[in-house]
Amino acid sequence: MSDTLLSVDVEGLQEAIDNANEINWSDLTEALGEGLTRFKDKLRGDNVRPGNPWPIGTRKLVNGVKGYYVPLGTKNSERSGRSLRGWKARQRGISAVVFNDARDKRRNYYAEHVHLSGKPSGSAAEEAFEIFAEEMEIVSQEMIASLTRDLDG
Amino acid sequence: MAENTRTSGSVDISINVGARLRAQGIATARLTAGARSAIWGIVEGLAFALGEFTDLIWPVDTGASQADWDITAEGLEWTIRNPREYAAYVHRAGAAEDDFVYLKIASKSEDLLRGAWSQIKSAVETTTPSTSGLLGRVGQFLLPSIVGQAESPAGTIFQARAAGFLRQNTRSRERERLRAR
Repeated sequence: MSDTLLSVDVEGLQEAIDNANEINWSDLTEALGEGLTRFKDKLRGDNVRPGNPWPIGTRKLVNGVKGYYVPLGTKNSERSGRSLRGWKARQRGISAVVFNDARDKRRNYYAEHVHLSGKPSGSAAEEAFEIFAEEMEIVSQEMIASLTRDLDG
Repeated sequence: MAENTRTSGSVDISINVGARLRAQGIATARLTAGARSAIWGIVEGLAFALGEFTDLIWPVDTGASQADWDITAEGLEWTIRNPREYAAYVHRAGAAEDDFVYLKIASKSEDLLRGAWSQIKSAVETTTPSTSGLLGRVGQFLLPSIVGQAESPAGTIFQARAAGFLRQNTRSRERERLRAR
């Protein structure tokens, strides 16, 4: 997934932009910003205890040093949101990029390998993309509503 | 030391490396794309090291506030922030109540930057830009040639998330958290 360009279907948006009498850029920018915020929040699940849908690991402390990943509830272990922390969203006007720059001790990016419980490597990123696509669909509907508002009135 | 520019409990101790360079008489507007790219790469390395440090010292219960740390390089900006409404008050068990962990992160960021400063100054002369890997692709997006300001450092997404955490009733979240255990 790392080098694949993913596309989100935002059907109707280009047409609405082409047909708009007036484009309120701040409305569009705000809609995108809110969509990105919802995307980041949704990755954390209920915002109380992260781990669903984006997994959060449990690391065991050995001699005070954080070591390997262990099952939840293991003695002397603690939660780690390292790869969740790797999610970043950047926006410039009505363009945005989301990426995950979590790296392991050898400084290799590894978010593409994170998996959901019982599912294959990369399933967490697939799930994240589904959420991103859903949010961008909502954003595009909000943008279309803004662009067609004056036409409707 | 970089001061927290937020007052609501969230933390933003981002460092403007460009401003530090200008303070030393280096005209950042005249930097080549290669120099900017090289400095970005160095700051990205510092961001990684600071992330490691943060993972090591940040107290973790559920991992929510740890995962909210946004530590990354964007050109000449070093973004270091956390939108959680209580991030500024987090301290280790047994430590003094004003011994806030984010202050240690701020101090470490300055130590790291000081250690890399000669490297950054050398990079000022670099001419060949790097556009490979994740950094290169994100960098392409953030090129100033695209209209508008990037969402950095106190950007709209960070502001929105910080405001969202404040809006949510802290007490009700605590109840949900205890219920989830």
